[in-house]
Amino acid sequence: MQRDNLQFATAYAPEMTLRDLMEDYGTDVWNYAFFLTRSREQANDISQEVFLKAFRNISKYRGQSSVKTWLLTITRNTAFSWSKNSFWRRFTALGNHQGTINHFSAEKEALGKQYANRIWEIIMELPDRNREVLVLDIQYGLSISEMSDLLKVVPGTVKSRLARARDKVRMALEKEEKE
Amino acid sequence: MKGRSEDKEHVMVGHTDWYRQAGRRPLREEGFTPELMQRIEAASVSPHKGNARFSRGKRPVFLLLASAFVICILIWQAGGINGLQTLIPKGHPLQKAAARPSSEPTVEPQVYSPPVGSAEFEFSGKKYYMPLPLDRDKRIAYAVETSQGILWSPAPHGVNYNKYLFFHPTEPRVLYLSSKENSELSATSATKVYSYPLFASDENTYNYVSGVFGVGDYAIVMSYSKTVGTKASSKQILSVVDVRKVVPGGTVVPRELFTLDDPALNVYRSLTAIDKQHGEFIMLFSVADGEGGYGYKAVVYDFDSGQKHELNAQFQIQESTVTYETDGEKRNIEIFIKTGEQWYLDWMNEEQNSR
Repeated sequence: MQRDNLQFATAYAPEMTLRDLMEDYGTDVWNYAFFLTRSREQANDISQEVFLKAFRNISKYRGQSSVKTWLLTITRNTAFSWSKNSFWRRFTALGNHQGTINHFSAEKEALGKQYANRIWEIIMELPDRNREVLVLDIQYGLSISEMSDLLKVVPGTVKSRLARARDKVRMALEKEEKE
Repeated sequence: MKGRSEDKEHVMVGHTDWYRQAGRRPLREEGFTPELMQRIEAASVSPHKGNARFSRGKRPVFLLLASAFVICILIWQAGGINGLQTLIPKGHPLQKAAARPSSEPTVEPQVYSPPVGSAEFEFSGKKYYMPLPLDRDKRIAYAVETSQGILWSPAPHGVNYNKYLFFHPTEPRVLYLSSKENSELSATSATKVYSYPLFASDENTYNYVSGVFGVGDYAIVMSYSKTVGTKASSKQILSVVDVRKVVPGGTVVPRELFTLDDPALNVYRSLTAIDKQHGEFIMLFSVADGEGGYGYKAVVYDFDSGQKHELNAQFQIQESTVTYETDGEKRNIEIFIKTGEQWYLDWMNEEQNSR
């Protein structure tokens, strides 16, 4: 159970063990890292970094935000500092031959395996800014204000990015239905 | 303090069906696994372990500076570099090393220490690494073992990595051949085999290499071209490089074997396979037998001659191999690519059942 009630979290968080943190928020942190990077490998590494940072600094948690949004903020900062030296290219190795093979049908197949349905494939193809707000809304249920704080943009920008993201997904789905 | 109750603005929840659907679990597999949790706990035991990525480089630099300082002090006290010789006992290995002419090559045991960002490979129990700049995607760096050495190709620099439609390389794809003795796959110690032209047909259409395979005296290279901004790419072309013909300063142009564009390859359980021992590439086409079943028609390409011929035999397909008999000889060869649609449908069914 996540301890997201702010008063409770402020009192409880400093006492949390690393395992408590991971059991409560592991999936949230990992998924957000994955949505940002589109890489399982990087999501693993970022999750490790986030929990170690958070655990070392848990005594400094003052309850300005819920534990979840505090961790999501650390996740975002960590992912962006890592992205400077990494690339999110989506290639997949096939087969057990000597060497590797990459081609587009294989790439599509692998991505198809990753997400539970076509909607998420479309969401993951959105530009970073649009994808992120949609994920924070659908998956994490953050309010406009919470997203605004996390993304460090004004609420109006969050709203317009969300509107654009929703339009893009809707149009993509409509286009596919017509085809 | 801003809480969710303060200014909660739900956006479109329930407004459209897709939004509701997307709210379900978005990933098939759990990402944050118990194994990852254990890994993080193990990393937390040592206060520095988690930050090893950032601090690892500082310690060697400090040691290097400290060593340099000590050496400078010794040289200064001994009255210069010649005086340093007097500090070392006669007959000590350092005496000999210091006296050796600078033009004499030093013989050092090869150390396997791949720099950060290297792509790593292992062939016949030996490890190899290909140093790459950090801005390269090592997943598209290839290396394969051949009879003449390791044929490899570094990932070319590219742009727009996170925009699938607009990604393109900015430098040509190059094939190299290195000795199996060298752990480091480096252009300086390798023989250049071939450099693909960066552009295919026009300045907006680029050549790509999508796979390299080692087959004894040959390397098979899969390539295609794609225009920036479009989804469709050209058909995959399979080419063969005879590595026995690679000589320093020469070029071996990959010889095109065929294009994977035969629609018959999509039928049922058609596939392609490689006979490494005999240097042959086999295309197995599923053909309807008129009784509701399928048989196979086989076409064999010979790497040496580039010629093709039909092969009449009974084929048995296992998960990754094809077994057949020809001229009284039983052959067991490796499947290369399963191209028929039924393979894909089988995979889809497995996926559906595992959900």
